[in-house]
Amino acid sequence: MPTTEIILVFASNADAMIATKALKDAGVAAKMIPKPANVESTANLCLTIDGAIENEAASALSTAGIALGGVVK
Amino acid sequence: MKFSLRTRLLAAIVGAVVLVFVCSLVAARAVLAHDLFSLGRTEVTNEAKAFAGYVASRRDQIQLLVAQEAANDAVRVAVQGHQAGQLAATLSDTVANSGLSFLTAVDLQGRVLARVHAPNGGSLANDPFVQRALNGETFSTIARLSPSFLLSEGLALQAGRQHDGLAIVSATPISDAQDRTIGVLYGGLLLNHSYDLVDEATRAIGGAIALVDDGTIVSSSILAPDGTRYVDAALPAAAAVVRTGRPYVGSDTEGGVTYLARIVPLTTDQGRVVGASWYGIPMVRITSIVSHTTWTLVLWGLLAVILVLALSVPIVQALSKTLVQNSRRVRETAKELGVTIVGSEVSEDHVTATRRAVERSGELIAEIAKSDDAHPKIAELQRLNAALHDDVTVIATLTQEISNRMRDAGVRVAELNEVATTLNELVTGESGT
Repeated sequence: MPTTEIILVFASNADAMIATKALKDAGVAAKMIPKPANVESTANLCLTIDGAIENEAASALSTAGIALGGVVK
Repeated sequence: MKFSLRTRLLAAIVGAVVLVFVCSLVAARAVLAHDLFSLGRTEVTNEAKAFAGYVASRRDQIQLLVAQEAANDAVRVAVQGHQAGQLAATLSDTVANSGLSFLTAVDLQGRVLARVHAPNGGSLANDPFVQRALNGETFSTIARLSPSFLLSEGLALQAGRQHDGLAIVSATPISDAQDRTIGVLYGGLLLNHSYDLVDEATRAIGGAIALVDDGTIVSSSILAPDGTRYVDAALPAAAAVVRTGRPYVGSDTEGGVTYLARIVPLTTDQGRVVGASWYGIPMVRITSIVSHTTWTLVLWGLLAVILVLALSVPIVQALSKTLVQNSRRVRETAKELGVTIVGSEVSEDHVTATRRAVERSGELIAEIAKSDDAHPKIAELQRLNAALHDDVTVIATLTQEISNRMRDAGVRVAELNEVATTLNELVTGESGT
């Protein structure tokens, strides 16, 4: 059954970049996209992941010490 | 003129060692000189006392000799019988065997009965020592003998004409069988130009000794530069001691040699100052130790400097070599980073141009899509272009982010490069470019 994609928001573009690397190292598939117009964030970039792996992504980011600004579903 | 870090480090190390060494040397020299002079003062004071003991011993010896002679039956009989010839012969034998300078017998009225080195006759009734003996006193003392007395005793030549004589004298009453005083026996040792006492004492206690009368050396074991005995010379410091009655300790030059000397007043048995005794040790004994120690310390100090240099040069070389290598590495890294920064700026320009092209492409596709005869795949092209636009937007954002950070890094690299240049200049002394 296909799942919807969710958007991970960060406090800065730098955090988004580091998060991309951390998720890649943890084996979590993520794609960097421009911030959608309907999403509130100070950063211009955010990540989109499969909603089914949200917990794995959150765990990987926590392990890497990266603060997640928010999740848009 | 700029010096390299290694030159400055070595100079600082050597400078510190030399400074510590010089301070230690000055302190050691000062303390050594002070302590040696204190020791020298103690030595001359003790040896001067030892010489005073010699003089006292000789005085006691003379008193014993005169007293024994006065108790001699031959003398007593000759005095009682006024047998001048017999008396003179007896006294001559005694003088010959004892080393006395004079030995004179007087009767109860102070008339001279017999002399050894001069014709008989005359009176010693006014002589204070004869008077004391006639009053029953036996004594010995250091004394100053008048020129007239010395002349009458045939000792004027030894003392120096028209000059007082410094002597150890003793007088004792001569008694008859009933223990009544019948005369006086008066004898003594003239110290002027008599060297047995000073030579004997010098052999026993070392140093040099002089006896001073009226500010002039009358007997001494001091050697003049030509090797002769140093006598009949003025000794002003002794004149001051005789005048004040206070001993002197300090530097004194006699016969061309500087001594650490102690001068003490010579007093009669009744406490009157009549002369002075001088005892000295050559100052060179002290200064040579100070000089020898100083030179030894200088040699050891030079050795220490050489050892410090031998130990510190390799350390400083290794340290400066590491610094040079690191500063060069920093400069090379800074140069590479500079190229990276330029590359980043160029990339940003290209990404911006690409983004504009994709946006323009999107606009054109949208215009085509509005027409009625649009290609059936135009909708797919629009989605593809939208995805491409998103990717280009992400790349543009990332490139700008990196470019901003690169500009910050550029400032830091410039500072780092300046630090590396300064470090290189500091270490090698060469101007960096």
